[in-house]
Amino acid sequence: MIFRPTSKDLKLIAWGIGRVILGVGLIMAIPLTVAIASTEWNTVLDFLVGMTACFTFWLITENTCKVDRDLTWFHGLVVASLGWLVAMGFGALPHFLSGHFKSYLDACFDLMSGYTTTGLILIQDLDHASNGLNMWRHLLTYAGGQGIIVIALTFLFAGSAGAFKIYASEGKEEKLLPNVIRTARAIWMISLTYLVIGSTFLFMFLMKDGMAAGRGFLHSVWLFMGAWSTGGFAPMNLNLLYYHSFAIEIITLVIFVIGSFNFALHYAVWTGKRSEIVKNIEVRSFTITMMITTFMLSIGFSKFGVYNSLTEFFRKGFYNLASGHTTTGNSTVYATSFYKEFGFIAMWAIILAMAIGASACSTGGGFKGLRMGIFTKSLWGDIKGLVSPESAVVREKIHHVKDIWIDESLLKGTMLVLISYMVIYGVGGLLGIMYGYSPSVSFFDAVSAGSNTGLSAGLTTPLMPSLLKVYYIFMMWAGRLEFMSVFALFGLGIAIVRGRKVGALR
Amino acid sequence: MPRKVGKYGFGIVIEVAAVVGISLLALLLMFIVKAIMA
Repeated sequence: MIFRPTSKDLKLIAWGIGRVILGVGLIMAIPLTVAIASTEWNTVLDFLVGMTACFTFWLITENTCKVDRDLTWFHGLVVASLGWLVAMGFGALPHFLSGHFKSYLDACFDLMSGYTTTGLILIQDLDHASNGLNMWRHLLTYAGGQGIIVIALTFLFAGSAGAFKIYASEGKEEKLLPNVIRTARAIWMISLTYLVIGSTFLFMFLMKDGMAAGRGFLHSVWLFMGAWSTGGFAPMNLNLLYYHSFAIEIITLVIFVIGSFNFALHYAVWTGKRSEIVKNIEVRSFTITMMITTFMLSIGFSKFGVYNSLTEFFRKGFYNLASGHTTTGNSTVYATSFYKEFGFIAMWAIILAMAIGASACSTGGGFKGLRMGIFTKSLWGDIKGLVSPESAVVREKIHHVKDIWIDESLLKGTMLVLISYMVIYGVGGLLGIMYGYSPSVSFFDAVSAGSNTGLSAGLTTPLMPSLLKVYYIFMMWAGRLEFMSVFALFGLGIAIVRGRKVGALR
Repeated sequence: MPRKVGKYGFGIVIEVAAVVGISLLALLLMFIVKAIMA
């Protein structure tokens, strides 16, 4: 039996979303400051409008929707899923007002791409975008990587017992520390430490290449934010190809691979569990699938005679493959090169890598190494069971910070998410084919959007059909939230329409 | 505090070393495949 949510339930959800939007408005203060410092007065106005809208929404929800109850799991799931959509609508205001977008839908597309650390873009004339707008683009992908909810938890939900429910609903189930607020702060501590180190190295090499100090500083921070969050945004239209620098490519490669690691792994290694880096199932899974796809890519390159030197194999092949596997989207080639130069085998090696994706509880997307590990180990257990005596009990375990036995419910949850990813990838690919794009290009961009990667083979442009833009927004959103929160939102819709009118939701 | 910085710093070194290791392994694999298929 489905119960219809009461007005108290809906108010509680609206109050939670109001807090998330307050967080979005507060973050806008940083690009606003950059715009003021750069004397970009039009951009200043864009952000003032955006902030006013966010604060107005928050004031309304805070004064009309606050109820004397704590969040249940269901509320947390709906706040996370709906919160991202509402945050997209408000965050897109400065984007749209900048004049760099064909429509509000395009601005929303880039916003969702940023929040979900995807990296696909529809922005036009990016090379002439203001510093304020660029700061906003990169900041939202950096903040989105940690999770918008993590930001809200860190500053705005202190003391709320329902905090963990919203945190877990955003696809981050792991608690680094017993307290969820402290976990959110630990995630920030790790990210900010790497921000300082990574940006410093990038700044040094941009200076060496002759970039002016102020511009070099901003580019180094933006490149770090794009790479660490596995968002793949860059301030120039050509992405990493603009810099033509092997050093910058190596530094960003290191940043995005480390950025794709699980925050629980970072915390374990940083606090003394050093052997975790070799024992962890996600690192092992990533290494194995990386080698399999590298093998495929190398065969493809060699067979079709693409790129002759080993350096080119590494800079054009491995870099983009690793960028795809970590679901980053930074690229050292033109978008059309994937389709016109890489060849069929190499292109599908990258599609496979993107589909598998990075680590759970990281900034990345895709199936996740943890699920690949659980699936593979379980399959291995079944094979062992087949060749063992009938009376033998075969159980498999994985190591992720601690040993975890694979049971029925763990496998069921894993399979549900894997199938959901395959369905959205498949529908996205078929939609592209329906619009006349080639299967390889269509699946490349669809998997890229669904796994929150951001590499494009040329399909994602402002001229793509509006239905595809909307579906890609859905894929980015659903893929980032790992479906459970999205199912909960559909459940809320059904409960409102068909639910039985009884008490508050439990 | 300095002990904490040292501990965290070593953690960062280990993570960077892991990435370098994976990249070198991939480079070796590329070299082998390229040599075989040449």
